[in-house]
Amino acid sequence: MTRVSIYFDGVQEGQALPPPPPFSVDRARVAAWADLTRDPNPLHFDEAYAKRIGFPSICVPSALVMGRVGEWISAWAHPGGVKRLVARDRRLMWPDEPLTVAGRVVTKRVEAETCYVDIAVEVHNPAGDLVLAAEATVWLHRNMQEEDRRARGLASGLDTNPSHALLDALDSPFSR
Amino acid sequence: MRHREVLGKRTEAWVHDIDEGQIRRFAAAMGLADPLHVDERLAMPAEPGGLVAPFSFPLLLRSRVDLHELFPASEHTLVPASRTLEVFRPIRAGDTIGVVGWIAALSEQGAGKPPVLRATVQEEGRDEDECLVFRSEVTVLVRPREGKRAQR
Repeated sequence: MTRVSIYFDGVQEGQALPPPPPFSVDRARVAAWADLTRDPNPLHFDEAYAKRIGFPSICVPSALVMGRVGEWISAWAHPGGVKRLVARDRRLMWPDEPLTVAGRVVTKRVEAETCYVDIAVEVHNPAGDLVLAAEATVWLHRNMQEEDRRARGLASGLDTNPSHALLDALDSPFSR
Repeated sequence: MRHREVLGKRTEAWVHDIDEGQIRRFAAAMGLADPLHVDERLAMPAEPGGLVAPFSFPLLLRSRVDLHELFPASEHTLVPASRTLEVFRPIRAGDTIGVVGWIAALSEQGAGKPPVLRATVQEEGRDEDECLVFRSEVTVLVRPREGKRAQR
């Protein structure tokens, strides 16, 4: 599997992330999610309940959409990774409606020798309404040389910076 | 305010033994096709350890806090307002994660009688070495059902 590598030095504030194709969540996926997460909220699996309380149908769990957003950012940040993701529900989401996702880099910063990028994400429904607003913090290698240097330092045991050890732990699933 | 007595009470840990089937089912439910999360031969070529879970996998790992027990669906509608997930290390098949939770905040919102409640649950997942693996926070709006409101 070929992946594009993103490095801190190559990222600009204001830069848009390549948008993923619009996606929708059907009832089968909502049911699978509710089952998997042992979601006790009938709003996510009981059509009659949802209609009884005045909704047109069951609604899509926002955690599922948040997860999709998190995985999209995770794929973009390779060989870095997502550290933190905050999602705010703006409107309920309904099964089968195509959702469009857009994200852009808001800030770049370096803390304790670790490069972070903050990303703002918006998810819209077909009517153009904002349904979910998210903020993600991802860590990135500064550049390819730093990635190589760190990999060599960790391999030789010379790099004892604990933040790099954390990065290496976070890095491991996404770097191969 | 109702239920103030539950504020800050930490639950016993709900211990989750992570297996490859869970990770695969999670990846499938999310619509992920990345072989890192479904094929262990690709996930761990260089070091020991099981299949790697996607970043958002902790969304699956709940604590024993159950807002639906406190606010039954027959009387309330629970609508999510926000969710935060912070991950400190990747989760792999074979990990054992204990998740502790507590209701961190309860506040009234609006002028309804009874009013809408805003409930915030915080959770922490730790591994067998007690190292923090993830932290999450979920805020939910608890709306009293109209029918029940009229009866009060």
